Amino acid sequence: MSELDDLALVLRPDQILTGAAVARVYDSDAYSVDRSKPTAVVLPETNEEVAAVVKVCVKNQIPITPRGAGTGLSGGAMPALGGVVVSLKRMNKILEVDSVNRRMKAQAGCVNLDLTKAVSHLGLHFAPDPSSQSVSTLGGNIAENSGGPHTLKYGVTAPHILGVTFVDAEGKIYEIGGTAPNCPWPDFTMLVVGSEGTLGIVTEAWIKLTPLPAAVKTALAAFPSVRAASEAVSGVIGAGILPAALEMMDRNILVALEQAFGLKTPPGTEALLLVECDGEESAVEREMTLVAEVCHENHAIEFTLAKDEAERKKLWTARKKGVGAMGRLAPSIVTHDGVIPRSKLPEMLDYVYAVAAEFEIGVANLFHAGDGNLHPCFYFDDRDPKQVEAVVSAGEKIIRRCIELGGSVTGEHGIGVEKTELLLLQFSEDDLKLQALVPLIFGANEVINPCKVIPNQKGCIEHKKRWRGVAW
Amino acid sequence: MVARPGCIEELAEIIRGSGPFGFQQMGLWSLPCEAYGICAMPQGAMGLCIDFGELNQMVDFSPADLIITVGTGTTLSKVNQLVGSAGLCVPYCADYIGGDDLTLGELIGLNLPHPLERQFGSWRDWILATKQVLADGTICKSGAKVVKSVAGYDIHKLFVGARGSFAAVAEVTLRLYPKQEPRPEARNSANIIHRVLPSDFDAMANSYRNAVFFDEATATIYANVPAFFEPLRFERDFVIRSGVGRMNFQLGQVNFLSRAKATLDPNNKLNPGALIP
Repeated sequence: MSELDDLALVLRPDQILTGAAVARVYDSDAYSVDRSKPTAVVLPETNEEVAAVVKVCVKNQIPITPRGAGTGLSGGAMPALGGVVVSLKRMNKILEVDSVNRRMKAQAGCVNLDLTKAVSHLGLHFAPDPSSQSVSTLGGNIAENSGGPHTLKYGVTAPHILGVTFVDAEGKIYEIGGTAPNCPWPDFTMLVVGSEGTLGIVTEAWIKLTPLPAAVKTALAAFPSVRAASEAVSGVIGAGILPAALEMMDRNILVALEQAFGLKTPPGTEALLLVECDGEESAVEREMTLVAEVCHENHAIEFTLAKDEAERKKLWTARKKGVGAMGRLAPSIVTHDGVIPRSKLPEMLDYVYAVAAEFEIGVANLFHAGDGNLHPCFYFDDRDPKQVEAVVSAGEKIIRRCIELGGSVTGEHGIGVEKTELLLLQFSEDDLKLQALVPLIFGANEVINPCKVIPNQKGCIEHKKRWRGVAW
Repeated sequence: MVARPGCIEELAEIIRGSGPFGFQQMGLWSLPCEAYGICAMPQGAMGLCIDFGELNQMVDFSPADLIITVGTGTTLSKVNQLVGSAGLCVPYCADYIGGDDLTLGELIGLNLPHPLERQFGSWRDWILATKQVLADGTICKSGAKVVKSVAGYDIHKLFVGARGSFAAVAEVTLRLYPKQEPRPEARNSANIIHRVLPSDFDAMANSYRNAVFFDEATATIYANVPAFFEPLRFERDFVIRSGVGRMNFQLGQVNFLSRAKATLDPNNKLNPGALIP
């Protein structure tokens, strides 16, 4: 077809992938409920190649879907209207390390963890740490404004991005931001971060490097009920402590973790809190003592500190691979993402269990309790359409409750295709009118990652039914 | 003329242009910011200055969630008095820019550096949600009243430093932090703030004689300089001067600023000339 011929003019043959297997592999990201096949996948290696691909696609009106590692959980990298997937995976070079100014310039396809590995010998790291960090890319993290366990103290991705190189929807290359931190004028980097690849394609970024803390202590607190653990979370924050991480895992996750990683908990444990404090040694000591007091006040069965670095790493492996470990419980998992004010955690968790019971599906919770960011993980069999529908309906019910309690439809997974309609729960028509102005500022068009973020886009509604369930 | 709306609906009515005062152009924010170029009504222009002083209600304060929602006409000192009783604060230190009697709207519109920035960040990190009136009079919100949300584009963060040029922000939700001890330093105002990359800090510091405060942690100098003083410039630095109106800093990203202004305020009604010459 002519559009592929045009792509062949700007890329080598090994940079253009087509065929049934490719279409199958790239038809969804980690949100596998909705799928749509691309015509081709391209692998540009320079800013100029990305710009050339965009120009070809605009000329031929071919939809473009930017993609990193495809670990997104809301369908942001799913080629909703087919067309070309622009994979940034080959743009994986670290371009400049400026340790004096604690910043680094890297290409969008760099894996998150590789950024930290490249500077850890300098006592620095890239603070955003989504659970997918061993595979997810910088570009993907920027698109989704990814969070992670340590965002409680260090913030999500946005405050760690100083500037970006950006190819707009017409194929023009811009440098945005990159001055000394916190410029006094409006910072457009802040709009690009979290825009889910709908404004253009980020190809490089200046990222902020954060010093590694002098001391780190990690503890596990076992509780007899989810409510007791939730109240301990409120107690810790209320005591003026800002731990580096404050994560909760419930009974069902613990079953999977014990099978997968041998993580043992005392009898009667219904919920586990993983607490990490970091900073100067004396401050960490003081904070951890306070955390232990709060946990005991809230009826903790056991409070244990990791003895050494190896044990600490084991705890984090269990936490970060928790969703993966759930593969032992059922063939399919959908991880939902909603936010509530932290003080409403006990009430909200009761509701999550009630909804799962109502729809007769399994649910496990492992989430960023300190941020009030819930991740109910439904486990089911996605070969059964009834179960798929139950999972989607239960998820929507939970998100509605998040909004009723004053929260948000998504804390870190993004809107993607999953939540465009749910955004209507949080935003009025007038709020969405303002949202719809953002792509205009960047000159975005209907070609660049269509059907994402903004609800009811032209040409998307009729495709929605097609996405669901085409995989099996 | 000055209009003093008592609620966001009245503000919208004024901006829609159908209020008791017909006008084409307007300046936003109040007078103390004139020095920094906020109330930048072009000389001789017909217009109406909107005073946000009555938009000072506390909408919601949840100490357990470390969040407050408040009118942007509220002064920083009043907000800190309100949340201070719960052991919390907005950790912005306004010592060097004229004290904390400035309103949140002014401080967010200006987004000037401050000495607690390394420890706590600044407005872009704290602003979780806003409610505003757009140039056509539409009342709308952005963000969510929780510490973490990626629902939609973070356009509320674009209002930080925008000097009221993109929308009239009437209400803001901020993240709060544990209360800080008062700083012992004298409350001397600076008339120039200069930030560089840390590698240039020593060279910059040597070029100033009357520094009010050297902030090595953020590579920033707050100083008092004569009107004719020309600062030594460095790569990727920025300089903000008081008392020289809208020309007080060199803009970055003029391309996008112009496009944002044309998109959000096509008739140039909101604080014309305050941000983009």
